[in-house]
Amino acid sequence: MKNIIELNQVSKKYPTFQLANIDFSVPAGSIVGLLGENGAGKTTLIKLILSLLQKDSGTIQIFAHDISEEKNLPKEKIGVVLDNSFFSETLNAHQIESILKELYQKNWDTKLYHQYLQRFQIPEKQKIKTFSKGMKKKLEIATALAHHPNLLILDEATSGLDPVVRSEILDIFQEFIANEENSILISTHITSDLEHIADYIAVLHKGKMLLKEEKDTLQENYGILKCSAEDFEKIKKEKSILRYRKMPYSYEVLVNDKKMWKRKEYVVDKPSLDDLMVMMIKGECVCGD
Amino acid sequence: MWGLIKKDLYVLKGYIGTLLLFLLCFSALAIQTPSMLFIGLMVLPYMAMTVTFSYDQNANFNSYALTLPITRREIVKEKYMLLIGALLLMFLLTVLLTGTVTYFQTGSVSIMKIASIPFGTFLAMLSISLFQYPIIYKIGLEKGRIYTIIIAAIIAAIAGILGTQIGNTGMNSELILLFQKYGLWAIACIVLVGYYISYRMSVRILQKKDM
Repeated sequence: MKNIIELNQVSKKYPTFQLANIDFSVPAGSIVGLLGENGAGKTTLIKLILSLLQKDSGTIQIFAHDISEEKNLPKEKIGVVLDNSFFSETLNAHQIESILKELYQKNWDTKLYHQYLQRFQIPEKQKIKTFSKGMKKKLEIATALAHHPNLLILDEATSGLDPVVRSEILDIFQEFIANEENSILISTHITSDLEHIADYIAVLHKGKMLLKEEKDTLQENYGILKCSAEDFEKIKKEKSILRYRKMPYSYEVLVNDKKMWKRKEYVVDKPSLDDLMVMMIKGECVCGD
Repeated sequence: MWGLIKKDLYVLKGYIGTLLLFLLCFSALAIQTPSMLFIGLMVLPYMAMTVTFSYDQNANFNSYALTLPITRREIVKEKYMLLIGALLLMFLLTVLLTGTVTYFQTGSVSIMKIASIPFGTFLAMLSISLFQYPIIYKIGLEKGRIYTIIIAAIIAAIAGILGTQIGNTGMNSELILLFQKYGLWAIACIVLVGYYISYRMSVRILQKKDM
């Protein structure tokens, strides 16, 4: 399967934060969910992919183009929803269309844009500043989709939205990848959204990529083993142990070979993405990392 | 780039009331000093452009714009082109209005006479912007404004000191004659070259900037 986005050893350093040696990819026809707590580096990673930030080292390829130079980024093929970055709120949906039509020219699909506006019940002539947060986000998504992109990059596109709006938006994303060629990279800290739609999950923590795995593999192979301190001492050298947390009366251990541990008659629960994220971020590594 | 111009015009449409109020104030001042109206008309595009920078900054528009089929160079070019275009339009409008009124009042028109104040203001607005725009791209509108005021004050002070010095040397009559003949055109050339250099600097600043 070819990759639509491919990052090799990408680094970006700030005085107080560093995104370090990131290897990451988004395969064609998939939804990749980028998880991480606030400040983990999700937005920095997305901005690097979009050439909004300049990387210190490494390579980034999008649609097989090296995007070291701004002109190489195939923007017509990408739809983007950023967190807190859009048109001025004094504009309305009609004016935004008129602007984007100029910019995208033949790629812009007026009919599709109006279909989304109707579907999302967004008034065309009303200023954005009168919209609810959900309406604003839906308008941003409509503008990101109306030029027929092949790749959607969404930074916290569902944050702060109520469950009904979120579900509506997630449906749109699933429709978008239905052709098996389009891809989505979505960053969020709302794990339940990714449980519904993501094919791959990547966990970013303090600028490091802690995990990138197929969601099915995570669900089939990963588990949270619960054991006593005594048992933990016996098993802690095992290779399939990724992280552990010491609880008041027991240990919780994240393993990537659930079946093997079950065969050994340990209690292993299926982890939610929330559990997984907490274990990866808060858990300690036996290797001492 | 036309898309970006449209965006700024739409933004200004929502700000039209304030701009008209500003013009009204200058019109009131023009009752005593008619040239104030022309100055007001010429300051209007400069003010309007500053407003568009402010709206862009509040919406964090430039980051979003760079995800659209637009380059950093085009973002900068649009602002420079729109300002000079709007100033030229206002200049022509001002000259046309003044010319018409003067013609009906006196039966004749001297273009040099009626165009000198609007042209001077045109150059003044370009001069301020050529310093201000790279600063805005570098450090933002708010901080940029303070630096622009400081730079404008320094230039005014230098001009004042030079003027006084020339007045004291006694060679003023020759210099003044020379200046009266070619000064405005020389200043115009300097300002236009400066405006182009300023544009190049702004492009370079934005190209290196993390958004």
